[in-house]
Amino acid sequence: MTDDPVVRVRRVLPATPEEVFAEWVDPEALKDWMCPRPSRCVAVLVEPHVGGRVRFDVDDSGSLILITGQFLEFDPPNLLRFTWSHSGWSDPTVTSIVNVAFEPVGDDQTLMSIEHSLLPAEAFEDHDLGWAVTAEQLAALLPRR
Amino acid sequence: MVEDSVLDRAYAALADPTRRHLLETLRRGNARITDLAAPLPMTFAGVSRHVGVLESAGLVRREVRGREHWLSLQPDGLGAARQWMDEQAEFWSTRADALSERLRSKKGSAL
Repeated sequence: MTDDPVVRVRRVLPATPEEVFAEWVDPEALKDWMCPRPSRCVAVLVEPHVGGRVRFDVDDSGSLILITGQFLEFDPPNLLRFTWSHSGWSDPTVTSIVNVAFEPVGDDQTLMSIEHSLLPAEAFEDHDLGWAVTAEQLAALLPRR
Repeated sequence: MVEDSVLDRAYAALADPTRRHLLETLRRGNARITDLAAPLPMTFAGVSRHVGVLESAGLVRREVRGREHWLSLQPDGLGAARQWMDEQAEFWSTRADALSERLRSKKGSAL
């Protein structure tokens, strides 16, 4: 019951943190890997600074999905943190947070740690119990593929 | 894709410390509402309402034996919630794989 509802993916990549970080902020690179087939990135916008926008226009088998956000932290080559909203969610105004950390491993590898924490959707309805429901990062919907 | 309403109920049910405590207690074995209420600073009715939320989320099953209501954990009641989390993790691992593959082929072509 104490499972942490944050999605975590960690991967050691065959490149330096500088190279991996560059992949995350280069629209052409993102087009290649952020939208694995069969979905396809039609357009990618990255404004590489805190407060800058990030946006993916994704063609998901014929339907257009917009993923939009804003950089909360931009610390090359160590950390990226940005908001993440999705036009396909039942509430597209829900904002989730993606945190990506890059740590060197040996001379030319990088441990990339992605954490996607999720704000609650329209889930918490038991006001009558009088509990202050904390924004416990529980429910929201991510891209459908 | 897991159905939204199922997830809403499961995660809403979990988003409360008392209900998580009740689920943890039931992991030790079936119990009556009276048993569950005893150690809590809460009335029988209060606990009963929490149990109702857990029941409607499919996390707990209630069996009436005579005048007693026995509660048990529903096997795999969290299955839908777990599946949903797995799907989200898969979203990012697919991308991490694609990035890894791209970096590898970049390195390869640079040689």
